[in-house]
Amino acid sequence: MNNTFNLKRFGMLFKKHTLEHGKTYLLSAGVLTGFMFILLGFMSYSSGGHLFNNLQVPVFVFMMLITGGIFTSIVFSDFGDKSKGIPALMLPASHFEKYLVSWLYSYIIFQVIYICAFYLIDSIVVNLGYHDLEVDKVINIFDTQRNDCWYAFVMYGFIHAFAFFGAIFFKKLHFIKTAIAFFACLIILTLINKPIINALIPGDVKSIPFQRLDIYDHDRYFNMRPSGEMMNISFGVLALVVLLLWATTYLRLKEKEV
Amino acid sequence: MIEISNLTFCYGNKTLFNNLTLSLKAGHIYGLLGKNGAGKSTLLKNIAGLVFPLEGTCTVNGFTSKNRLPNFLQELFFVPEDIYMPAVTAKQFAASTGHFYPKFDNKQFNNILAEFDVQDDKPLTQLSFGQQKKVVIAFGLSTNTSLLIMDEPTNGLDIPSKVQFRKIMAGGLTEDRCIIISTHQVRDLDNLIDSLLVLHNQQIVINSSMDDIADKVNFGVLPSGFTEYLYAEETFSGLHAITENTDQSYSKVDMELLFNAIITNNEQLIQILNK
Repeated sequence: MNNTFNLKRFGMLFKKHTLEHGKTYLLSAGVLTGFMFILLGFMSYSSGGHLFNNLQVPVFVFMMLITGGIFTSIVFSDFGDKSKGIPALMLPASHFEKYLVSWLYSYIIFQVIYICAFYLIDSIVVNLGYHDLEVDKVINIFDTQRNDCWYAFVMYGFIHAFAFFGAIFFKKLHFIKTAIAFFACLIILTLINKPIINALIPGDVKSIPFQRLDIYDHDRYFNMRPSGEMMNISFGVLALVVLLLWATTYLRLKEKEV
Repeated sequence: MIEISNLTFCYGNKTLFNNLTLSLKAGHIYGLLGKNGAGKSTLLKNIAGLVFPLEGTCTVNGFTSKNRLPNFLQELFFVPEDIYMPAVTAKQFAASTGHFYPKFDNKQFNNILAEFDVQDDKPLTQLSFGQQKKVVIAFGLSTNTSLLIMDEPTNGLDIPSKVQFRKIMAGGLTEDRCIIISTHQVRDLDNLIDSLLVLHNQQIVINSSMDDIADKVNFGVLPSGFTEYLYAEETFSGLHAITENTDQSYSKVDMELLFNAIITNNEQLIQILNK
């Protein structure tokens, strides 16, 4: 048998993982759905029975990033625990197959389940309210012209890659430690960004990394945003970081010791 | 089967093994003894590729352990000291995990479970620690891997279960299989192992078959005042002593006495045993 990837062995591993973790995943999906119902229901109630698009979008985006981040950060928890780590590492499957099962569950399957849960709950809440056909519509998350839901998928790639690395890097308290590391990176990025921008453009300049640049020149104010081409470069850099983090996670799994 | 060459391993600043070399062959049940903290579990983990050496190599059936390739893993089963079982029944566990091991025998698994008196239709998480350990031992034996490593397998087993364990283990050895059992409860290995490994002072100081040990030294009770021994412990019945076997007589190896002698750095005894 191939020592890197074998479809039959991968199938067996996927089935074993599903059998042993399926109940926990189902319960987690139940909690996610319940929480979504409460949040959207509360928003609809607060808005007099309406659920506007500008309420649905942030719920979709932020809940996806937060719950996906939590789920991904614990997906390798077995490998950090001494008693669980030995059977997990000793199971006759390749590191790549073990990696792929966790990646599939936390990246692909999570997003599919999340979208299904969101549409189910969103439809229920929208229909439970006044359901004014003009304003109360279930959002189309794939409509890039009308809403920014697509942004959630881009950001989820990054959050997933970061949480995935944290899941294998830390032995305990994966989510908390990954979240601390994430915010520490954000702070460092912001602190580094400021002197770099000031060195390039003297004067009163404010910026959000990879996003926007505000220049104040006496009584004039300039707001600069990346053009379409520059946005593509930003997304390219982001995609590269995501790929690097995924690759590093794989190498870390290969070198995991218990 | 297992070739360890110049293995050096450290935990932080503490050196556990220094240029350790060891060769183990199929067809034997090895008992690995060592003081607490000597590194028994770490040595087993090095063999299994669960930790990586600082220097040196460790190979099993020609595979470098630390690579943990599937072809290497499917011929090795590790029974850890602390076990974790998923929330499935023993039957489900065998069905979902057994086929990763080409020589897994489901009938053998059921027979051993029956001998251990463990229910196979109850979620494993609802079983006691001892019962869970029996399931892992039964599964490990039924995988029929060429290497079976057991780290403190009798921890958590009650006295009747230890007797059953010895009986079952004796039937689990084949000529193409190597079993390593690590324990600090020397008596659990009585009448079970055929070769003894003693880990002491960062080295394997003894790697001998029990027959070889019995050929070289005698174990017995000497009258008080007798001084011609390699090592002795005073007891109510006299001096329990180890003497050099010069007349080819036979005595049963007292592993506890032998182990105590070795860890007191009895160079003369170690030299005789390694002759």
